[in-house]
Amino acid sequence: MIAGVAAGLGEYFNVDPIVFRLGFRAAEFIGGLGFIAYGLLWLLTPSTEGEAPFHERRRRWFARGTREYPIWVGVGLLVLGAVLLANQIGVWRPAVVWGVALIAVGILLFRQGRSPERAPAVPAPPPTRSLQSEEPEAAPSPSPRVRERATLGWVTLGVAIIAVGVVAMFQATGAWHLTADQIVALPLVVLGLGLVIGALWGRARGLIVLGILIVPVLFAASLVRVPFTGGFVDRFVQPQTVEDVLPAYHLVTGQLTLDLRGLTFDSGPVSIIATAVAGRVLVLLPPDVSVQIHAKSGAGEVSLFGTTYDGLKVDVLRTFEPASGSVTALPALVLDLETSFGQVEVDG
Amino acid sequence: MKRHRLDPFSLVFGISFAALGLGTMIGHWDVTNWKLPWIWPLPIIAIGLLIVVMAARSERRDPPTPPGSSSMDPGTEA
Repeated sequence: MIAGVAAGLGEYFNVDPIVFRLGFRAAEFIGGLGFIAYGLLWLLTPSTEGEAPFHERRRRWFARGTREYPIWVGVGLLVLGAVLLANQIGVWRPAVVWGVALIAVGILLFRQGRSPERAPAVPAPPPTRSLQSEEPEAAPSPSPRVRERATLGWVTLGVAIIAVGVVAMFQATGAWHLTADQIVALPLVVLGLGLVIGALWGRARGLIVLGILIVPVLFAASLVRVPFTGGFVDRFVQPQTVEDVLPAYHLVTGQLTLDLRGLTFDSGPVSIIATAVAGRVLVLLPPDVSVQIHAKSGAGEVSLFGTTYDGLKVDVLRTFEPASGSVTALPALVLDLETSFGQVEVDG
Repeated sequence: MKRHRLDPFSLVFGISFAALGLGTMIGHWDVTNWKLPWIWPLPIIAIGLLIVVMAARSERRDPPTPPGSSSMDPGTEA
């Protein structure tokens, strides 16, 4: 015996402690699980010194935990997190996990089996009444728990919306320049602060759901690194001379087609930026032009002369020399192409 | 607004959201670079720990059992 955990469990479950001792000993051979389980139970269960009997303390701890805090939920979350980390570290052992799960199910079944013995806890009896009272009165029923209104949640939501509105106004005036993910992060900060306050005062748990919904939006917004300008309809650009070429072309959604096939780039390097937040950027090049292409796609694909790269944050830098002719020191055309969600394609 | 017992879910999610938002806004964090399989177990572990610790603390606050009472819950005896 080290800390009396097996004895305590035996007393609690009304089973010979030797069963638990053997269980701990057997579990020591499953990746040291026995040591971990013993240590956790030792740490988490209360001491018996100078208190009520061991079994009573254990029983109250379990009962109170399940009644006032979802302790099994807590333990379950701990186990889930540990398993996920173990999987990441590379020490994942399905046998251990199944063993722990079966032990947990067994304990729950033990408790379930014992539950009919226990009647539900009743509220404290009413104050003692005088014996001279003529008519016995029925004991007052416990008052129903009044749920506090979620004022804090609504206030927080309102503040978050106002904050986004104010930022959008300053953004429009040009006074501030925040990226898409920074704008999405602002209401997340407000919701977070509201929840921290709600942890002790008021009620705002509904904000958790809202925050969870915002997190993927933040993830998506982090992929947006191009300006929200250029309109929402397809654009087709076909400059007639090199002088007609603009340094940058932008689009919010749709297809941006840049047809350069009719041009001859022989007067020095020409740089072109073409972006679309969501959609497709298509550049058609003349034959026999040396070109340096820097193509990026937040989520989607990049296709350069038939070679496709796809995934998240695709970033391709390639230089193509004309099939015929001499290799030049500098490319005649420099393309900087990007879409946050969609496809960048360069073809001849 | 009334003060109540600490709500671990609100606390952990609140701190996580606020930290994520502030990091993105001020620290220019790029969440797309994060290794999500490493990140998301951490709040789960934090909530679990808080629940277990609070349950243990609640037990410590529990008044001692009066002498002579049985191991059953109050009110179960005839």
